[in-house]
Amino acid sequence: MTRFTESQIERYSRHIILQEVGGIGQRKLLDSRVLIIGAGGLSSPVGLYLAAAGVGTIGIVDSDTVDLSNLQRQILHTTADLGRPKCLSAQETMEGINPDVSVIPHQLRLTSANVLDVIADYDVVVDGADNFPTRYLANDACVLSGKPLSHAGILRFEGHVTTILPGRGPCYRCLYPEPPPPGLVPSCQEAGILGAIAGIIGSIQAAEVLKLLLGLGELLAGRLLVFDGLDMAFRTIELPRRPDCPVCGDRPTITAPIDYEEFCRLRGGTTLQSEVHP
Amino acid sequence: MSTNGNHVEIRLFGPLRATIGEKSLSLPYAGMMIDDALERFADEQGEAVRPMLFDSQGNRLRSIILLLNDHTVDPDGERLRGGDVVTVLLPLAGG
Repeated sequence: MTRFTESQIERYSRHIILQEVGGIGQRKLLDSRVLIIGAGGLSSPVGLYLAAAGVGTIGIVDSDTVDLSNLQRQILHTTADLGRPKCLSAQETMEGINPDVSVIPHQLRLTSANVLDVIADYDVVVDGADNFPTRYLANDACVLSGKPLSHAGILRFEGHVTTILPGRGPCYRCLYPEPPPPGLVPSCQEAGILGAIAGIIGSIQAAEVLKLLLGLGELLAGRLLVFDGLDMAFRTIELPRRPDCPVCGDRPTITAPIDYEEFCRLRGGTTLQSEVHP
Repeated sequence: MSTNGNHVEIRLFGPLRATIGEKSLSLPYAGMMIDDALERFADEQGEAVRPMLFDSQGNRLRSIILLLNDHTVDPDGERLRGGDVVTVLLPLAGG
């Protein structure tokens, strides 16, 4: 095992002093590889905390550029980053926090054709996407690859978060077997989002990923955490794996990544609007 | 929650809460099967709500989580009792 430098011992001292982490745990984090899908509101606290924690390799997927309307919640980016590719802005911020961290930007949009290749080199995937097509694609790819996935979604003053452990609990399709009809569930662009809600829910995702990498505690596997920011209340709902789930069930019908549009056609010919980008 | 023995609390989150403008409603649905109660709820709450819960053929959408007293609902259906809490969750797209 590579020895810590004096600077690393100081940087990670509050981790190392935790009996549950220690030097061995910190070394695990430095040797870990996490992929974050999206560089937006949820991914910002995830990226910041994972970089600060010393997760050694962090991939970040996003095809967008930084927009002024992003800055109310997407704290990976600054005003000086306006117009820059988000994954490059995120890379600069995360590597600036911690030079031990290598950030790999993936400036692309995930599709059924590339998703398995993109996630292949990572231990854990974080879903911080802003649209249902990417959420279903990430779920299917992680189940098919056996990779843990931290899922979260936010809207207005609320957030949902769960941890998907393929083969050991329900997946996203077990919770929501089919996507909602297009246009019925609004985006943050349409319905708004209190910026700090993204911070709360993304921070929970970051904590779940760190616990997972360190093998600590009880994960949100089989549980959906529902956060109501107006009441400042958390509810945890236990949800089972569905034996009839099309991707992780006993007789799966989805055996390779499929795009959302294709899935919707299979379920009955729904006409889809174009993907939204809150 | 209502003290009325005929009433059931419907807890609303996400897009349903935004559309209806209430966190929860106390409605006289005790004695009804939960799917029938959801049908009546959709009828009573206006045109914007029904498509969030049912498809054009009247089938409950598979994109919602329906809970009775914080537990998943038996697929064979369950009859509501006074004081029950029904929670309707839709997935959240935002990130």
